[in-house]
Amino acid sequence: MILTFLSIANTLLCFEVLILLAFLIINGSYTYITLFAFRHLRDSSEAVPDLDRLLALTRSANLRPISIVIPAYNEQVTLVETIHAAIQINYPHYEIVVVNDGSTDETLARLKEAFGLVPIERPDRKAIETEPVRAVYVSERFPKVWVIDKENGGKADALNCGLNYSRYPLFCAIDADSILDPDALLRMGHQFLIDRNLIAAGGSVRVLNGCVVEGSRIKKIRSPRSILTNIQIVEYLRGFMAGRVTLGEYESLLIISGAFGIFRKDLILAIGGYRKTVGEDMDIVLRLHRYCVEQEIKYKVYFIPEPVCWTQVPSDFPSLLRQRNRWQRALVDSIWHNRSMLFNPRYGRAGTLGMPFFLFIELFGPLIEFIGYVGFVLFFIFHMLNPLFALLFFTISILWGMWLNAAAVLLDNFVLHKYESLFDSYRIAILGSLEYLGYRQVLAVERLIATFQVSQTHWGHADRKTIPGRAK
Amino acid sequence: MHTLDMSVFPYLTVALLWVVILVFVVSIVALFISLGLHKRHALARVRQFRQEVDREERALTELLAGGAAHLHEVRHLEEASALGTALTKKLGPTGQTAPTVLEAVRKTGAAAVALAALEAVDWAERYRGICTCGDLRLPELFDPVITFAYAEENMKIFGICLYAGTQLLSEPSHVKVLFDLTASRPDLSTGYCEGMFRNAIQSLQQQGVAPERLNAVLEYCLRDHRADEQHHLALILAIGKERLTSIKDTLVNVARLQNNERLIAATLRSLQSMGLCDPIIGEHIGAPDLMLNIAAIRAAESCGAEIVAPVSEQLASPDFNVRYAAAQTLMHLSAAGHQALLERLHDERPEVRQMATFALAVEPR
Repeated sequence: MILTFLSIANTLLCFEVLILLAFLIINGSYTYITLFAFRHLRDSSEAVPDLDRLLALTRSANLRPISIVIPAYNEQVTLVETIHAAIQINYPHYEIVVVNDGSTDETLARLKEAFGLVPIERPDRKAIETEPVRAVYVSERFPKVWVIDKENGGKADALNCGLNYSRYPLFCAIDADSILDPDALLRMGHQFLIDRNLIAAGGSVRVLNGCVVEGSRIKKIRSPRSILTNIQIVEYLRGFMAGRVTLGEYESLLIISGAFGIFRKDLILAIGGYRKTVGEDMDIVLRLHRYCVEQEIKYKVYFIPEPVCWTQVPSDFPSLLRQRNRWQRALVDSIWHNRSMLFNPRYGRAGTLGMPFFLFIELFGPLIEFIGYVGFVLFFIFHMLNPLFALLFFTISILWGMWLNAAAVLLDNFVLHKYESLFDSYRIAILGSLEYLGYRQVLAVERLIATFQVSQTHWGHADRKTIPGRAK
Repeated sequence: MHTLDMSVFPYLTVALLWVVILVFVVSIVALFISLGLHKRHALARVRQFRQEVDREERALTELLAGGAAHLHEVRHLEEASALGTALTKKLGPTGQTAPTVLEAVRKTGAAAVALAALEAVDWAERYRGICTCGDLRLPELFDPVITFAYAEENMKIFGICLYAGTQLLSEPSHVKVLFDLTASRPDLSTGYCEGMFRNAIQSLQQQGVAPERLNAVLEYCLRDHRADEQHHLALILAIGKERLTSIKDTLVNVARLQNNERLIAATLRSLQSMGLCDPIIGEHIGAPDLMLNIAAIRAAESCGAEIVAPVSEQLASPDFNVRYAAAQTLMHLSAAGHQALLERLHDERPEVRQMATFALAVEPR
């Protein structure tokens, strides 16, 4: 009996050592990513062309026209504002294709009212099969705005429909609750203009909550009061300013946010458009990697920090849990569907570095975290843990997290200087650190549950808030 | 019984953890302080840069008005960059700069500072250096910039080098140099190459260089296998179709010598755009290549009655687009074209009759 107990205790001890090791590897990876991004952004921030130079450069060359596609399902609260913001974009040739994916609310009626839509015949290339299109409209007031009204088929189906109807060689997908910075497309288009091998690029996605919006433009960038939103701001900063910058530099960028990304349309059509999954944004990038490698096409996928798209994040916990549940399912599904890339040197660093990173750090991370918490509690109950050691270790994990958060906020200041007030930056860094006191643990559990719900393909209802500044 | 290691190691572990905590606390505090300092420093730098630009702008205004103002001596890249920005703001991104201004810029020593930045290991500094070189507009910087560009691997900097080249060029042969530079990088997008080609020609035009002086250079560029239709388009956009007529023969000769179907089609479209007739048009009506045939038919709009017969024959083409182009062209070919369409109304082939009817009904005379 005693021997059995000792053997269980030893196994548990070994297990806990492994968990501690995993903790060190995960946090160590994030630290390396942050430090790398730190160095890269410090250098590159000096080489960001100002708007005047960018305009002069792009006027003197042939910028490729862009089709902005906005898929919308029950987006009556925010869609009009999003389109108004897109209309004000500073770019020579672009069109806005809104795909109403069978909304059951007033989305279409509001669009008709706001933009004076008239029905029109517009041929589509029917390159990808989608749910039937009910009608096509064009705006009388803003001729570059088109609305495709179709039967409900999900976000991927709506994006495919947008692909069928879009005219231009570059395809930009944005969310229906997002506001693009006026010069965001210009900064992205500039990269496509110079580099022939660029096939896809993602820009920064920032949190809109708390900002002041006037006339569909962000007038004042502020941090919100809500702790939940501040934590998410830090998460976005860590994810974009540190994670994507570093992965991009290592040619391992496997995800371009669905909220803002530009792709070469011919390649998206060549791979058959978006696959119907909850994580179409990661899946499309992975499939592009695969296609280009298999077809021996020289290619690059960039993350460009300067162009910014502002998006609303969940302001209540249930919505946040639904969102993170979906993200985790999307991650599992995308990695599973493209598992042939994993550890496969044929796919370069995307296969040997990017895929393992997403598998072990992003996908298994919550699992390891959860087991770590449970193990700590069990050890404590069975008096196998030195309380002082536990306390100090817990303090280190919080401090390490705080360090990563503060560094992410500093990174943001290097490049974008978006938060004018120092108070806002400090507030984000400090409130963001509270994620270790409950928030992170709950999300770890939700993500763990989501890992086993991968067969579910629903999106989960998202509560939208009116974008402040043009509230009707 | 407690052994030494059992007594010591727990203390060592705890001590180590305390040290780690201390390191984290110190570095977090340092991060927070540097966040504040960086913000302050960045704001101060922007403010100072703006002030310097304003100061240089005022001096330039006075200088351009014939005053005795002088530009300030430049010691750092920041100051050189401010001078370049002021020049761009005052004079536009490209174009002619008064010799007095160029002389004043030379005296500041900004060129040496900007060139020194090109040697930097830090790529951001090289980027700023090359931007400044372009903005300073000193023609003597053209060669160093091109030499630097050939050795530069960073695509972002290479792109800016080309732009700086278009800001600095001062004679037609520089277009050739820039063309070769763009052609040396296969990963550079076609749109950017052609944009810079257009920019270079426009820049020369702004300096008062007549299009005829470009002939030799254009012949070199357009005869290159890397030149394509977009270069023709860039030419038309840069020079303007009215003024381009003076280099029409060059375009046609290059097309004949190259015997490249895309280039010939581009030449035919250029001729159509300029509204000029040339024997090359008639030679390609009925060409087996559809793109070429259609381009020739459309370019025939500017020709006389002698072209009506070959165009009219194309109304019987098995390809819809060829028939359509032929019908439209005939409608623009004065009375003879109109007459040919009327005659085709009685053609035995239904597709010919259909197209003739369509053209006569839709196309206004």
